[in-house]
Amino acid sequence: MFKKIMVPVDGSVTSWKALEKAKALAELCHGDLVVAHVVLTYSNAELYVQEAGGDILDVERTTMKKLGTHVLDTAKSKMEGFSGKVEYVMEVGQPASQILNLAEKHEVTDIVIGCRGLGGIEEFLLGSVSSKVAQHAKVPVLIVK
Amino acid sequence: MFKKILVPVDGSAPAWRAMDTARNLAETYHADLVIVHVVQGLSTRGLIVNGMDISVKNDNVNSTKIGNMILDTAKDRLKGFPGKVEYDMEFGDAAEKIMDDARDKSVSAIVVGRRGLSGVEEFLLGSVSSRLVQYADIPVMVVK
Repeated sequence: MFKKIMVPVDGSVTSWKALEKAKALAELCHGDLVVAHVVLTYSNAELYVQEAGGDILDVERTTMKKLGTHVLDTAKSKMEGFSGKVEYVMEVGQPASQILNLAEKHEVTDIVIGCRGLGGIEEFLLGSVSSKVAQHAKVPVLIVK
Repeated sequence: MFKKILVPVDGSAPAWRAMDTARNLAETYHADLVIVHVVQGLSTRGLIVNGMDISVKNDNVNSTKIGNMILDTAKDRLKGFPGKVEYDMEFGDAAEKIMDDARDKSVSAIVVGRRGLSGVEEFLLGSVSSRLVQYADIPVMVVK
């Protein structure tokens, strides 16, 4: 248990709380960490705006990746002093499914994730990322408030 | 971080797996456990079938008996656990009662088995674990 913990981070306050908790758990159990950031892109919009050319989307995507790199850099600075191994990964796509893919690919033993609602009707209809992950992951999921 | 861990048990396999996980965690963290079983009485049906209140009462008595059996099984499974364990039985809506109990006993985390209700009911109401994930104000660990 807690041998290899995956923490998805999106730069939100709750995701940093999750990272801190995962760090503490990993230290106690001598485990490693996989810190993941999923870059959201406009995959659906892409279908509609093909004629508008790739420029806008490319720019948007580059910006999102820059932000992602910044998020992971922040994670790195927060992980200073951690004794185990840490991997940083960035993936492009739909957060919940990419988190689940990454968890399988990296063979993690647990996922620690911040609870963060999208809010309003979107959360009601689609559910938050954390509850999707909790519902479909093959490993235990700790949801941090 | 984990001083007191609450585990809801309903007798299902995922609930026992959750209890095993919680026990591991509690042993690592020198934490105590709170084991809760919620009896879902036939309260709504009771209102509708007032004339049949005896059978409803019998049903609730049976559910309580089953609840006691489940808690006894939990006690058996937790033999040798070094920390303190509290056993508790509540009546009502599972997710609500679990959260009330967590608050009353100031627990630091909930470890729950993931178990869906089926079909339309899960879609409309969500499973107990997903409601806990969404509404509890402490960390919740969902175990498969």
